[in-house]
Amino acid sequence: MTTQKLLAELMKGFLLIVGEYRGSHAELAGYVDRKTGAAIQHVRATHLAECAWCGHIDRVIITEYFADTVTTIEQAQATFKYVRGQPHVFYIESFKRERGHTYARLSSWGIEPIEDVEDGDGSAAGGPAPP
Amino acid sequence: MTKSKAAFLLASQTLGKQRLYLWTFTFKDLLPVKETRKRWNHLLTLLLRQWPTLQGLRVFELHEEHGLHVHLVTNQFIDVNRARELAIRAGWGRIHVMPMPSEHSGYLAKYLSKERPECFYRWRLWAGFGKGWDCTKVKDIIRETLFSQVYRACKEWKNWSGRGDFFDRMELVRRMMILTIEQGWTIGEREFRNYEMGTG
Repeated sequence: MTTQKLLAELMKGFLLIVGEYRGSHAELAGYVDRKTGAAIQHVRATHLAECAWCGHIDRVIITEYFADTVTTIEQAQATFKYVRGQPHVFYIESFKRERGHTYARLSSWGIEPIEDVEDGDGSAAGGPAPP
Repeated sequence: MTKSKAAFLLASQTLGKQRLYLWTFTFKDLLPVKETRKRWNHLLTLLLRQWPTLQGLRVFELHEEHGLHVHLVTNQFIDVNRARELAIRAGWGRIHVMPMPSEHSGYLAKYLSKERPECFYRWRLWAGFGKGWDCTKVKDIIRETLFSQVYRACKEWKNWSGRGDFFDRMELVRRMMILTIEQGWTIGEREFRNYEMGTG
């Protein structure tokens, strides 16, 4: 996605978060009945985005729920094609602020990298610091 | 999904693997919520007196226009005419019943996803009834998530006991969860200890 397209999306009123992608974790989350051992499980992913929020830079925890076709953690991990340290657009369904932290839920539009943004000193890529 | 909804779904799985019956009990007139609950208790007593082996789950639903009414899932066929007589005796209006495959019990769980109205404060939105079956309760449910796993690892690492410093604990767990994702750690006390040693 280009910054121009991003601006167009913003002007259309889409709910989104722009931030630096910091990592993802896929898990088989759910509930287990400790008496019977029965379980209700679903695959979900937690993404981390670093962005400016209320005057300071903080991590936003974004949860993604997958369609029923994704049944294993491996399948979920295969969808993580994002570059750590690069700015991305996170299309969200909802968000909440709780005790100074931000939590969001990803919409089905998912995450898109922003293509034409240059990283000033190269430190955002998560590699060694520039000389 | 909330813990309560998960407990309801698991309880309905325990209730019946085959065919269930979905009942709806409503009133002709709009009644206050407390009065409805009172009448429900009366009706349940009558139903259990008539069919002592009856087992099931009930869900309260506060309708936008028709006030509070009760949905019931039972695993046993009961005579609807007799049930209607009892309902009239307890002051209820219309009753409706239909067979339902057990996998459709999630339909009732949708009422549990709605925002809890203030008049339901400290009420059980659903409950199991009947003897001879152990209904899943919210306290029986364990939540398995990344956060809960990190919490357990932190508890072991810091030897937490009791319920003190709740918000400080939550803050630490959140920080360790973020680090776990960023660093790609396997969740465990050892990783956290190494991190603590590394940061001094």
